[in-house]
Amino acid sequence: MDNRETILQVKNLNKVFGEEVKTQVLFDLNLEIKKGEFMSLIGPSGSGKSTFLNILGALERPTSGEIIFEGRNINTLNDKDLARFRNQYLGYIFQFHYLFPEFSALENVLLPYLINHSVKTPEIIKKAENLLGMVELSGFEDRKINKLSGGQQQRVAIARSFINDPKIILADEPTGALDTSTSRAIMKLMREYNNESGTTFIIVTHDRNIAGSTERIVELVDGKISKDFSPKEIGEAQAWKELERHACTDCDTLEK
Amino acid sequence: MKFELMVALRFLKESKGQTLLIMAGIIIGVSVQIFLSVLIGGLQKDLINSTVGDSPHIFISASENRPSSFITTGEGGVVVSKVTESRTLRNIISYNQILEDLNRDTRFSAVSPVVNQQAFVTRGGVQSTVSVKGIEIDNGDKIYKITQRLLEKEGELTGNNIYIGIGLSESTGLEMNSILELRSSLGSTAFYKVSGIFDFENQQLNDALVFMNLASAQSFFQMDGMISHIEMQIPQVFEAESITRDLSKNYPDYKLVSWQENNQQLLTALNSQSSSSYVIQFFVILAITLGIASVLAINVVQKGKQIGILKAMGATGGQASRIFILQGALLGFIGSLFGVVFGIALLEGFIIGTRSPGGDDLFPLTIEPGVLLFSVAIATSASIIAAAIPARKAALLDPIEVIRNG
Repeated sequence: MDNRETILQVKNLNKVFGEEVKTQVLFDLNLEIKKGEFMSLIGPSGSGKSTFLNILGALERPTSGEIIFEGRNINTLNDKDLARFRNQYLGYIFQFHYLFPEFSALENVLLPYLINHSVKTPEIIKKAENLLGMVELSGFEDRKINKLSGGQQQRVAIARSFINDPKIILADEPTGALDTSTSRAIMKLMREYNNESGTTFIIVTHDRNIAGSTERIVELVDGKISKDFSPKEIGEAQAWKELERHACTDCDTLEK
Repeated sequence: MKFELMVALRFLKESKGQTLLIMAGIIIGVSVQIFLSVLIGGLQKDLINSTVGDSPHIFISASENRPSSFITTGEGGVVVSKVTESRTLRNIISYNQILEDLNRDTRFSAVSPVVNQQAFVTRGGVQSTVSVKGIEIDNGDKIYKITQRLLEKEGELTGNNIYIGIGLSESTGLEMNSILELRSSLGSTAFYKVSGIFDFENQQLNDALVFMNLASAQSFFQMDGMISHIEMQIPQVFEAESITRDLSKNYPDYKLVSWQENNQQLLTALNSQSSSSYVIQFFVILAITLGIASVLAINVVQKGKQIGILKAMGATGGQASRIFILQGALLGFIGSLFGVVFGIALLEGFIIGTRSPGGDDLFPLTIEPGVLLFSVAIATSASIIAAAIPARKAALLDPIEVIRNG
């Protein structure tokens, strides 16, 4: 049994889009995420997993239900406090790096810090340099973003998500735009950081290999949690079977 | 605020083409606005100065009593028309008290009693009409700057000495120390000596004006103890009307006229010139504002993704909007500073370009720091206002839209 503390708790979460024509995408979700967990969120297209991630990442508000972060319901925060909350406690990695072409690699890493700090201290610059070193980009500090390869850009984006020491990192298809070997390197990087810092990772992915390398897999189908298992607990062979099935449901959805 | 400033500066720096283009627009706009306002201001000052600078601003003369008639009932119910006989009073008889009061009034920079009458000069069979002004030279000089304008001078304006204009001197052949005979409209004649020849740079005055000592004029025109009117100057010419209105209360029996009443046409012309200049300046500023607004509106769309990501990473709506407000303010402020420099250069170019071969300026142009500051302030505030709509758009931008749609 996992005896780690709970960092994020989802209670009876519903999400409905539209005013006139209502489309419910998430139905009564309940989920508990532990501190330091390295989990993946899978599901066919249209299953609502990206919406779920955006709500977990405080980017979107649920229609009903509670998101409790370290005992605090974040839905009660106003927009300004919510922005501050995101800056302080959350890190984001997107499918497209969304780096700023106007800034250098180092400045991009510093941006989340600078939003709420007016001074660039030598310490924070050192930290940003170390993070770039960690993602194997030492010597690229002053490079403009469009002078970097796709894999390098995603690594800068990862370093950026670490700068404020977030409690949770939310990654939406972080390797979606990368080739297999680069993807593997990126996953390794995130896993290492997870081990070192104890930061919780929630990774949305289509890729079975990616999901298989996480410690917990939550599958969403039609806005409901259909599976929630740990590859380690049920054994690797069983886990692959489960993922195989997932792939098939994915195929079905695509065929429909 | 530092974060917003950093992002704003970087956005401006990275879209160099756009920044330079709109900057050029602001520079041209502000410099034209400054050029226009200084030029029109200088022109008007020059016009007013040449019109009233060396002439009285307020006149006091005795009010004219006109004969009046009314209808009354006579004996036996006969209706008769009665005409009151009233002599037209045109001279101020007891002027000492008024002069004393006016001299004590600090609003006036010059107070000069004047006898002004027509007279005739006969010379070589040609008779010309002249306007004789009898003045006390000390006071009259303050208004007309006669001593500065004398080309030649021998002797003060006392006794039978007179000063004549260069035009009269040329047309009649009168030179320095020539003796001439003046004949008043009442028929009296007397001899005078030309002891000064002046040039007022005005043909009418040069041809017909003759200065004489006040006391000599009073006796020549048989106006002992009387004057025609009192002339006054004030430091701020445009206060003449209100001061005149105020004085009228103290002197209900006299007729007070300000220079504006005698120069209605000039004032109308100046006013319409001012308003057309304001209209042009307004539209120049409006064009700048629209230019900035459209550039920033495009900028918000171009940078939509960045703004969305910044907000996802924790930037507030206020921070996002300040990035655009600052861009507007920076464009407006820096652009208008360059505009001021360019405007001054334009003015200097104009002054040098229109200089006469002798090296005289066409008319004096004074560039007041206040005008420049005002231009910078207006351009900067207009730019900030222009940035308001894009800024609002940035504030309302939902990060989720950017993330969802890539």
